[in-house]
Amino acid sequence: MRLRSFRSVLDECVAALQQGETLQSCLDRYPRQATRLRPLLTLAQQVGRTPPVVPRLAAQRTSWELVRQRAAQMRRGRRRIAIQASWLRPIAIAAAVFGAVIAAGGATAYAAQDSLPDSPLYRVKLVSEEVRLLVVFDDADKADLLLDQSQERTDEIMALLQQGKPVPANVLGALKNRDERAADILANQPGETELLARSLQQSQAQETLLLALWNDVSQSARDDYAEAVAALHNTRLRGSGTAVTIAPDDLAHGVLDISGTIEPVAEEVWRVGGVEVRVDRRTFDADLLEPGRTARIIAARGSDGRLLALNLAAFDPGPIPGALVSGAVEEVSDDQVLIGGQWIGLTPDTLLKLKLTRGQRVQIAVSSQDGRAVAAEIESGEDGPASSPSLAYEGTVRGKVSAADQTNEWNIGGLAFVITPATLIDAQAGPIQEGARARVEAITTGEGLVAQRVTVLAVKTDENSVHLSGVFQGSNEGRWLVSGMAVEVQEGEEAPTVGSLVTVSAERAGGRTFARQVDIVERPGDATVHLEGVLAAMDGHKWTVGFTPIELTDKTKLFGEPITGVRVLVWGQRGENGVLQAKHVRILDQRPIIKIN
Amino acid sequence: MWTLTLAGSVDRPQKSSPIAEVTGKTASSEILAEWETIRRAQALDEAALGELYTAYYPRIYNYAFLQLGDIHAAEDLASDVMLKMLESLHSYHFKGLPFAAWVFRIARNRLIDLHRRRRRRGEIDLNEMHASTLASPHSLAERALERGQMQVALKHLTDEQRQVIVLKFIQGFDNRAVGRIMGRSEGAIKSLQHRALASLRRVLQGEER
Repeated sequence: MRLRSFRSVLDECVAALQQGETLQSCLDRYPRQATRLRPLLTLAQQVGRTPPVVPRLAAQRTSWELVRQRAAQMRRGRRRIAIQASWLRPIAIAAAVFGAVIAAGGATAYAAQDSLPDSPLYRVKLVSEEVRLLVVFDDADKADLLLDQSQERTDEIMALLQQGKPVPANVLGALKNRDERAADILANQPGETELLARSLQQSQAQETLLLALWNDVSQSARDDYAEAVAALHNTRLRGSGTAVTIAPDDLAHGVLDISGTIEPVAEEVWRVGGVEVRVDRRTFDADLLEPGRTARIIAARGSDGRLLALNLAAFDPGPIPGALVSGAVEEVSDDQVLIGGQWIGLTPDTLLKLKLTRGQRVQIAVSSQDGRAVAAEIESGEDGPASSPSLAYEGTVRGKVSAADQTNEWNIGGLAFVITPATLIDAQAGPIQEGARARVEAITTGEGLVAQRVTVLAVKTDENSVHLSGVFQGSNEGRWLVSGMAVEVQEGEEAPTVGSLVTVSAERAGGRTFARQVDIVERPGDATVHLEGVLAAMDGHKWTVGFTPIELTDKTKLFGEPITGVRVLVWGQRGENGVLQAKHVRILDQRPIIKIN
Repeated sequence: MWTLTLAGSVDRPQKSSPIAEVTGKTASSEILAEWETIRRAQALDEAALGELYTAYYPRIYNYAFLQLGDIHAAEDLASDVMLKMLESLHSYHFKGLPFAAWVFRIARNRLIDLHRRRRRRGEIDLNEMHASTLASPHSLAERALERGQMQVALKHLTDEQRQVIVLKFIQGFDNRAVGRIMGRSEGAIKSLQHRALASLRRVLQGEER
């Protein structure tokens, strides 16, 4: 009798157990192998009884939605048609193009489906999208598919941003192309009200996104950017029944984001936060303009240097609530991120410019939604190249700062700052004009000090008085270098460790900066959280800044007079109780800029 | 529903297909029912796609989680496999291989791709570190066999041994189907099965690998 191998016996018994036979029955059949069989078969039974991992419902639903949408796309692309002779040519073309793609390797066409605009396969992806369009003959279906493809461009742009890559020209061109083609079709389909609504909504969302991404567009793509934004804006104008349009040239010098009080100047010319802008039929929500209200406008600067308001959001007098939090990500989940001991919600509207991971330094613009703190925008909180850490500088505005012409350099506190289309101007506390006190956040580039944000402060002080905060880079004979700026310090002032964050109250005289007081806010390696917002509440040593609770301790250094409604800068660390413990607090305003009830 | 079925399957034949469990059809018509569902899904019928999705997402997720040990990675993989299943559905033809085995073959291939990408990027598999540094075989031996322990124990097996354990004893495939999923012969699967059980037993007994 031929002996069977142990592995065959084991396999037979495993199968028998799975068929319902008992363990003992198997062992009785193979008594010689029973000693070896028993533990393995028992283990096999135990493994089979292991409780499965139950998937999370939210993730399962999200995944199903992706499948459902993909199936809908496939349905549109696979519509059965009756072949007619007159259609043979377009079908033949489609077959030829598709065949060329397949000839290059079916795997190539498949691999291209997930490619991003920076991939060599991206062109194949766009070609396969065109092929799909060729075999869709119903106009409404074609417009629907074009809108899907346009939306795909948005997803690609977001994926690039999260990888820290600039937005290239090809994706902007493809977005514009598909959006315009969809709009052209729908212009002749007045009955397709749902599709029209979708087209307008999508165009608005895409325009809002692109306007926020001016700084993330590669230099070589600026022309395509202007064309894409103009196309989206014009789609919306046409959809609202407005016959006027904007031209790419109206965005030749980028966009400007300004917040401030509204004042009329002349017909169709208004001042927002002291900045003159044109508001006409090409501006959305222009009817919200009322003198004295606070507004935020996104304006395009044309080749003539003049500003045209594209979109406007007006509020009742008072600043737009919001806060900025910078620090290391402590925890992250699908719908919120923990930073400085506070959970901040992530919503579908959150502009996420990177992929969030624990330990990563980020800067979050926080706003309120339904009473909870949510992230409006999240970007990297890392400084740029080591040679150009950011500088925050406060001083008095000197000279003309009108944005009505092409002036792009402002003198604030004796320093020249380059104002770019990406500079955010916050003039809620008063107009940006000569004599106003302003705080500038800037980085040093080849062009000099480039302003990233300019905030008008509610402060009256000596115009030679300045304040700066930045990274200590070194010292030499009584002069410190702080974020690229030379500061004369008092004799005996002990230099901190290179890389420390320092604040300096100083006087400007003769083109030089003389420090009166120096403070070390953060040393290298400190896990410091930086918070910026309105002082919303005070209860003894417990404050709320923006939407974040903080606690002051006996070691907290406080500079300025705390009053609810003023803006505050806080540096601190998360305490054992989970609340941010303030190490250094600086009050920016001398009077409230918002009334807190 | 299929969870309870699987837990009790040691004493009952594992013949119910996931589709049968979802649709509630009788055992005698389950193969035909599944084929009918697949045929409708190939025509992109949403209800049929939903049945397939409901039946297979949890299984693929479970499979992925036992391999990867990470919820998010498992969710990503399961979602990816579902999309690939949809996009490749038109190419599925019954040739004696159960539909489930076809789906798991997609999952197995995606898993291989993931591991290759991670190795190319030099990513450290934290789950591998966890298995080797935090949960020693000795500590495993002292505890009852729970899901978490199963996952850690599996990490001490080779990839192929782990595949056989998961596919055969947890997912309930026979040797032929496991072989098709893994691209190996039935004889190789029998050998792997023996070595996998023996290795797993040594791990759980606290012996060195």
